Amino acid sequence: MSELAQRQRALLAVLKGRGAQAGADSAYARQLLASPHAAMLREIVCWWREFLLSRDCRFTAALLQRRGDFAAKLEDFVRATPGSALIEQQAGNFLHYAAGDADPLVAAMARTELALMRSRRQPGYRVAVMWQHDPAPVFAFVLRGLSFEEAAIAGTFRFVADAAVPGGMQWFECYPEVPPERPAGIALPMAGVCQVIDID
Amino acid sequence: MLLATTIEGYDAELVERVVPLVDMIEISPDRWVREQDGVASIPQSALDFIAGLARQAPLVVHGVGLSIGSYDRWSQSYIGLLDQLFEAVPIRWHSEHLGYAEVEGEPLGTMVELPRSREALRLVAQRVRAIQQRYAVPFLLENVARALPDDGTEQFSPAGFVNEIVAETGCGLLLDVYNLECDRHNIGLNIPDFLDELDLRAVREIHIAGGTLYKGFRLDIHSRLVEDSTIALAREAMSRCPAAEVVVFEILDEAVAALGAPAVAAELVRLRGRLGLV
Repeated sequence: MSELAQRQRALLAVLKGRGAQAGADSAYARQLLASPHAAMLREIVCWWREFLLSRDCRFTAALLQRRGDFAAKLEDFVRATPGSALIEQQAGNFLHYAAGDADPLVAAMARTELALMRSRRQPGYRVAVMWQHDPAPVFAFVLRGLSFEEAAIAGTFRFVADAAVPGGMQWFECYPEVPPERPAGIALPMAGVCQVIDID
Repeated sequence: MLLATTIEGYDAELVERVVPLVDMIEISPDRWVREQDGVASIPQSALDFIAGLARQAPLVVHGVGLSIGSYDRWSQSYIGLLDQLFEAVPIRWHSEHLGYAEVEGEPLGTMVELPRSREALRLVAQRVRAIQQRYAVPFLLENVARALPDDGTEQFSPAGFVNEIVAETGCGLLLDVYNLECDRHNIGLNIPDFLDELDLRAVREIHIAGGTLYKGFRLDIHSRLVEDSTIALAREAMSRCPAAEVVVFEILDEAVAALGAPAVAAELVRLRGRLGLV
């Protein structure tokens, strides 16, 4: 491998948080790992990425910040995924990643935000996301800073992203008995068939 | 000498306020990209918007995403964006950073300087020539703000490396004076020595910007108005670069939202006066 390739691969590994692995077989990587300038560069890259994703994945980022592990989640995301030079694509990739979160509330919000992103870009796109919590207090938290207790808002809800409805969204609480749905958010009748979002 | 600024998004108020104040507009293809099914392209709505700008002032293009110094390949996706732009609007010249932002297709999340080696020089020169053959307008390379200090393996001085590329390819230079200030602050660059050695005859465009400090590190982030020291350095560069045609005030789209279009317009008026661009 050429010197240029070695250096660039080492810097990539350090910036992506895979430096320990790269340091085992590269003297330059070990040099970077010990460099305060490289550490600062990595911190700045993380800070900028956090700024952009907080802006572009606002709802999911707010929930992760509430849980106190937004920065750690971003680190995991960056380490585990190749990423994208395009912020729009990176935001989508991050939401896909967060959609697999073990926390059902974070996962539902990420799927929802992804659905809203798609429905804004794609006329006629209509998709549903199942929630294990009432979305209303969660959105009130994100948009207005109102607090909520997760246990108090537990339930089964179906969130629909649909550019055709006012506000682009509506949600329904689901009951096991008939009728299966009762409007809980914006009380608009459902029309057509909703699919559960395909995150893959 | 002309004055220009960057337009990075569909901001009608910004366009209305600043375009009458400048002689030229700089756009970055990367900022207009939309992704559809994994393919990045500039949507027709953006091309129409840019064509509207081109009817008001000459356009130059300044890229971020080419990654001309990546050891394995440059960004073919960025080349596709350039092709789109060159087909859609008249472009006076285009430029890119002398650095790399991707490795093996994986983005670094930032722009990094190249090691100043013969290997890097050969690679960049070959790609500059390929770019020059592909597009029939001048191509400029910009000095990036450096993140890492020298480690003793350099085969060229900072200016000597750039001069060699210019000598081998005949490309032009975009001198970013704010980046020089970042380098002075972060890694101790001696700016007078750098400018004394650099082939200033190749400089066609000058960038000016304001940034901020992050934990003592000066960031190349174009988020603020221009500081007096940067204006002074730009004036010196203008007086010493005989082929320089334009000074471009760079401002991030995100910063325009925070500062407001009137503040950006006022800054352009101030810069025109302070730089003597009447």
